[in-house]
Amino acid sequence: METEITTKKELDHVFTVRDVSVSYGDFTAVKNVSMDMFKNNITAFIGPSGCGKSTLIRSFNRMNDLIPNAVVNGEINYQGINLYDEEVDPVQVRRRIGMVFQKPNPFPKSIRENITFGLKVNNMTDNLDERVEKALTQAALWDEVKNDLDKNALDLSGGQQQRLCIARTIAVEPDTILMDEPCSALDPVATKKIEDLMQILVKDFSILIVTHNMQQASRVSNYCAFFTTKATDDGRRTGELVEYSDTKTMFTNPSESLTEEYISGRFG
Amino acid sequence: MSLEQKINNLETDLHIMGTLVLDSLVSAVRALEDKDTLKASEVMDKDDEIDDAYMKIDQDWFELMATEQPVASDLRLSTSILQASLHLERLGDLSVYLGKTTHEIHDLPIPESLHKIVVEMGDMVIDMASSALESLKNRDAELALSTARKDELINSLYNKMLNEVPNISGNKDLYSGLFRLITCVRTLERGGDHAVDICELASFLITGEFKEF
Repeated sequence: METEITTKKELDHVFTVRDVSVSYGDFTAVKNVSMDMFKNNITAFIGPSGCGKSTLIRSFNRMNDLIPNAVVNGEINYQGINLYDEEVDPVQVRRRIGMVFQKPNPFPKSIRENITFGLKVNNMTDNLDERVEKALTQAALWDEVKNDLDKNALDLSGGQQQRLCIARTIAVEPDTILMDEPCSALDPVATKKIEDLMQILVKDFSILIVTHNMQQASRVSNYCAFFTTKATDDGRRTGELVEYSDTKTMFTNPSESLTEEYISGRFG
Repeated sequence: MSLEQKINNLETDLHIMGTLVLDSLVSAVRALEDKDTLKASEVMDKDDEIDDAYMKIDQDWFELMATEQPVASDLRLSTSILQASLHLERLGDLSVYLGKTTHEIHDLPIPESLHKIVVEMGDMVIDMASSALESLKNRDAELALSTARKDELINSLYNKMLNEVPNISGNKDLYSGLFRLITCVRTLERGGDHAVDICELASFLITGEFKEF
């Protein structure tokens, strides 16, 4: 998989999603999503709780494989490769497509070990110190921790922990970073640091972010997808993609009235 | 107060300001027509009221942006209101200018044919400004476009005036009045442009795309 992905890296589309539905057992969390996401851009997923945006983003690096009964139908192509092809190794997928979660979740180990852990798992053990410095620098954390690399990561502030998680993600040299509400547990100052960091990282990575904060989506993203939930015949609710456009259009002149109502705070 | 109420209030304030400006324009054009300096002075005194209305909209818009961060049609509406209020403020200044012109020409000999053109242009600006505000209020794209097209008539009156000038410019007695009327029609021509700009805002509000008419 790795060779193929590298050779097709020059494609502008990072993800090509066709008719994707994700179900947990007999419950469909999100259905019939088709969209293309672009390389070196920030794409934001917005929508009310339960609309399937986190479920969908987790299917982009096969995190849903870890959930029993989770089934992904349709096709998710990553740089031309079908991510759910039998020959594709999910561990390799997660190295190329990293993920940052809502709550900062560093390992209860030193700052250095948080970075080197993933490197060792992926046999990237040459120039470890250099790799640690590079990852922490890219995550805009190096200057704050360079003299305390052996300090326990849990002693860092929430914002620093989240940047450490970003450093840990980019240390293994992915192409894409998935962020699932990365700032929802952070204060506005720490949030701004992460948002500024995203603008720097997007030069080297493609970024997908799920956020409940619409101002954040409008501030940081180039493209924006709005999802909502619709009632099904059995009374349950399934997520659907309502509108996907460049962010400027979505926040100034959305084409769907549902989008307009949601982003202007009139429902949801 | 909800965002919706705040934007509604902003729009109501705009139309109250619009009524003040239209009243002022009507009085200014009639004063100019009748060379009525008393009425002209009243128009000039009333401009502070228009300026205050503009400042209120400006400050309320600023507060709305800071506290509500409106998006989509709320953003288009609130921004269109702010821009329209600026054009109305300029139309208010036009009334003041007409008032000053009335004072300047009331005891001067002026060519009657040109005086008529100026008054006719003034009436057309009133008509355009009134229709432009109506198109904005009723979200009427057709009215916005047809109103904007009337600007051609104002421009043709402006050119007619300029073409008349060589016939009169040799007459020293009429020179001072002529000069005042020429600068006055230039200002009225700009007044038509402000009305067109309000029509463009009405169209932007409805379609979401900015087009120059």
